[in-house]
Amino acid sequence: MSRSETVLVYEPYRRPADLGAPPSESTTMVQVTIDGKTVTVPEGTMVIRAAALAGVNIPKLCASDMLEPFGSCRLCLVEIEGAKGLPASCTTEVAHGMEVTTQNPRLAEVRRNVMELYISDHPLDCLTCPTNGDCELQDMAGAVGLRDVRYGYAGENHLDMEKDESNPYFTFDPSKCIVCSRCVRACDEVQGTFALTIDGRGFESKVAASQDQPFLDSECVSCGACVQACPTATLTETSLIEMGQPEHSVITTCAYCGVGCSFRAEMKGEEVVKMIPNKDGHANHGHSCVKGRFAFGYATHKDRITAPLIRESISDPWREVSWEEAIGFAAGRLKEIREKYGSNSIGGITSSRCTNEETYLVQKMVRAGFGNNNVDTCARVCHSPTGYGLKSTLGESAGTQAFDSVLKADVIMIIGANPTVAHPVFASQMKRRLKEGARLIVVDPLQIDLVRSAHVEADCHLQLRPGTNVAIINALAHAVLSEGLEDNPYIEDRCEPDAYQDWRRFILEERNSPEALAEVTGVPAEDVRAAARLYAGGPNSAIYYGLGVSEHAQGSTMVMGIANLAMATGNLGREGVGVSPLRGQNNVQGACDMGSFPHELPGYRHISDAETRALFEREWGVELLPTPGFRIPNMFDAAIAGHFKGLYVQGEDMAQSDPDITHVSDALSSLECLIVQDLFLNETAKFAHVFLPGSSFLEKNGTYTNAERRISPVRKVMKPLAGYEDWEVTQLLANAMGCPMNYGHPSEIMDEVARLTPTFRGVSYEKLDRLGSIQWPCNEKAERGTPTMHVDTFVRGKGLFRLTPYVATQERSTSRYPLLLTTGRVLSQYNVGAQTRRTRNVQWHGEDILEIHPHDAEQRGIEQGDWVGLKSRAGDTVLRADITERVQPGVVYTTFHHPESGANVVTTDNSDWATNCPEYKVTAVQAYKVTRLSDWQQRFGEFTDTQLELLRKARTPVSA
Amino acid sequence: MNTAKLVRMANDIAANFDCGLDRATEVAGVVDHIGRFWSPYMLDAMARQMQSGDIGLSDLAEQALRELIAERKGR
Repeated sequence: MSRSETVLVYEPYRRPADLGAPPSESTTMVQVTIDGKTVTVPEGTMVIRAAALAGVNIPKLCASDMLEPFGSCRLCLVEIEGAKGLPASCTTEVAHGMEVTTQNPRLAEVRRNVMELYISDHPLDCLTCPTNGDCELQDMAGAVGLRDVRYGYAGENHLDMEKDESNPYFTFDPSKCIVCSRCVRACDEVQGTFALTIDGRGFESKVAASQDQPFLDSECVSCGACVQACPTATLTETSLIEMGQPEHSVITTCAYCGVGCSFRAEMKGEEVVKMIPNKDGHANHGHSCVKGRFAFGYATHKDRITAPLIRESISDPWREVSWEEAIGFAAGRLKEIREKYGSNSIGGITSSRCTNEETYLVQKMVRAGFGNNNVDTCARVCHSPTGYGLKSTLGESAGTQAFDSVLKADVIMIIGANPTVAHPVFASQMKRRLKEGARLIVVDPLQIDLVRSAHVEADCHLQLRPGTNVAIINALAHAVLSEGLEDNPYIEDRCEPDAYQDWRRFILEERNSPEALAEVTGVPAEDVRAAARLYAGGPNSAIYYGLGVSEHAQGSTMVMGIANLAMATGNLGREGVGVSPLRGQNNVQGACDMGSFPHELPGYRHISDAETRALFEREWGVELLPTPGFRIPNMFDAAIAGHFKGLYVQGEDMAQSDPDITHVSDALSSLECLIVQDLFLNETAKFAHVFLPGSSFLEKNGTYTNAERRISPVRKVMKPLAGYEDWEVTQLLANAMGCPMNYGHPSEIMDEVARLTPTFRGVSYEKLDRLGSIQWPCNEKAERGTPTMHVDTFVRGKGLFRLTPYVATQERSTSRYPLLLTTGRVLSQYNVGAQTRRTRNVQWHGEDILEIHPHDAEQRGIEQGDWVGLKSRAGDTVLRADITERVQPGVVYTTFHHPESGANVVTTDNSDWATNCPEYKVTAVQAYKVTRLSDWQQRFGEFTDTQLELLRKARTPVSA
Repeated sequence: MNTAKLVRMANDIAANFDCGLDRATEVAGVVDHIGRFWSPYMLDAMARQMQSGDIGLSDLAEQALRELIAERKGR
């Protein structure tokens, strides 16, 4: 290195260390000697791991610390003093005083012989092989000093076996397989899908997907665990085949669901070669799903908009302009509107797809710069009832557990969630616990995968009618109390006595009994009682719930009902129990924490609290309004009424994701200035006057907070395509609006959050770098964060039982609309699909489909694949039919990943009484066979074509 | 603003506090809830509408809104 060179950061690419066997949980320690080195390890540790911990790397092929010991490759053989033969170190447990020799001429000879056999049936194309430079087989050939294959290569072999390239993200090349079973074990143990097997015996043995099908047609969920586990080039990422080995890697956090997996972005310059789940990731422990691992191509998709755009009206062509002009135009418009229509006429919407720092800045700009509290986030339409319900009963708007807590649960109750498709990495962890014998209760109108799948079967499936959640939770509570299954000492010690007595009286009323409610829910009373007994019996019972709880007219009531049930049975405040909302998007928790709801400042403190307001007023140097601003639906209603005229939207796409799209479109069309900041010209941007290009998670620094309150770092691995990170764009707009901001790095924004928010007081980027991730609360009382909440007392002091009367939704089936539509997700697509539709994930789900029960289909003359009209009081659309018994008779189901399918044209403005979270899960509809698209779909198609043409004009240079 | 929607929202809130406790507690619950979550702009729109007679509010919703509106005027 020359004297003028300064090394900033240089971390060359390295395969992460693999200690050869998983850690032992034992607390009893034993001492062993490996090649003369003494090491102390927990009892039950395998010799190979103990050796690795002593710094001795024993050659291995089939062993991995991600998988249970297997002992097939015979490479890790060792000599143990006093033991016969050469035991495999990956399947031999240490014993106190054991003396191990890992290398001597005898062992070297045996290992060489083993490798010689492997290589006699392996193509010798190392130089042109995709894994050249990162191949364990190659490394082992080197490690054992293989110099010759005495058998030659002409014998019977597998070299002509054909590749399977059906999966868009990885290639299966069986000619390179050594049948170590790591892929099969990864599929079984890590993912829990059991899609792979070793077919045949002896020399015929080969890896097969499902019934020896191509990977794409098999049960494989494309999580990539097998690819990661493969020690050869048999299973290889297509991107690696195309690009070659990465040269450096950066730890960052996935931008998809609320599990918030930690990844190593493996890079070559500014190009991502592959995303590998981080083994030290505290949420995912080295596992991932098809979205996080493979679907990152959208970040460099040709549809990305990389220059700011403006236009006078939405019928004008877009004009590409400088950042300065775009920001000036946007701020000028907002100020004019404020001048003309008053200070309440503008607002901002942020998103769970944004970082904490970005959402914090948006709410700060609205409160301090726009001068009102008209800021909201997309949690309005997903988990706002969680915030309300858990805050009012337990005292904090967050899940109570860490994901790892599920490994101590004895009974798992899943309500209104489908973890294997929406939170797949956590679902794998849950499946591991279920395979160990935990009992399972599923409360869902749908037959979700976990009700019955490979090696998992629910003990109880309460298949209730959509919209009757509160009835079922009250019935469960009634069964607990009427059978004396409550935890009285816990209730006396931890909960408010008067509120408990009120609740007890209320729940014990006959109208809340399982028998009385069976008619309403459609669930036999005895099933409810059996589930109640199972849950109350625990001893550790944990509830996991999703949008099937929150997205209802009584979403908040249901969340409180869940909290009540957990308190009554003493299932809060320790590992293995709790109430855990599974958040849809990566930063739902964080966006809420950061004060992006109109009624509260960061840390869930109400805007009317003078003391909190004073804190922010001092820091920001402005006076804040003490009254709540508009929620998203209120903004739309005020826009249609002509009182709300200017809106800044960061990373959210209400024109696709929000209910009653016709109403949303009317509202957006009523605005005089709509500013959209996003990666793509999304559905909302088609109504915009200003488009500010956003940056993907690969292009910026920041943090996300996952469903277990875990704050994880997002790190920039490439420069922003449009020049600015999103927080910088907000800062430019805020400054132009007269709200001075001068942050040099997102860490300074987090420092401000920490200064102003008690639960974040101990959070800093320095600590995140040091610890990897932090679960809030993190403050003087919990310096390293808090995995389990409400341990000795509830955050609010005593737990509060809230009364939960069942009020039937106004969306009920009638003769005109006899079916109930409920909506959800698929594994391969994410939310509005703006990201995943721009990846090869479309091979799994190219369009949204209507699932309908055979009975309902037959009545209507609908056959598999027919076009079906779907009509509600809000609107109608047309989807293709999939006839399936996954749904009950009377219920139909679809997803909203593709805008043209118009699922949200059909959903109504019915919403949760407490938070206005839309009732996406219940819409009364009629379905009928049709031959053409709906009028809405035709108008949508025309509008989209027009808007794309107006965008093309911005990109076509005007000739002088 | 579409007051029919505001009426429905107020009625939904009231229905969820209507659980057989004493009336004063129930009214206080609704008052607290609407006070904490509704923009004053919505409350003002409601106040204007309520002067025009019966707009379809449930008893509990109406009682709570009257209290809130009086409280807001008193400020």
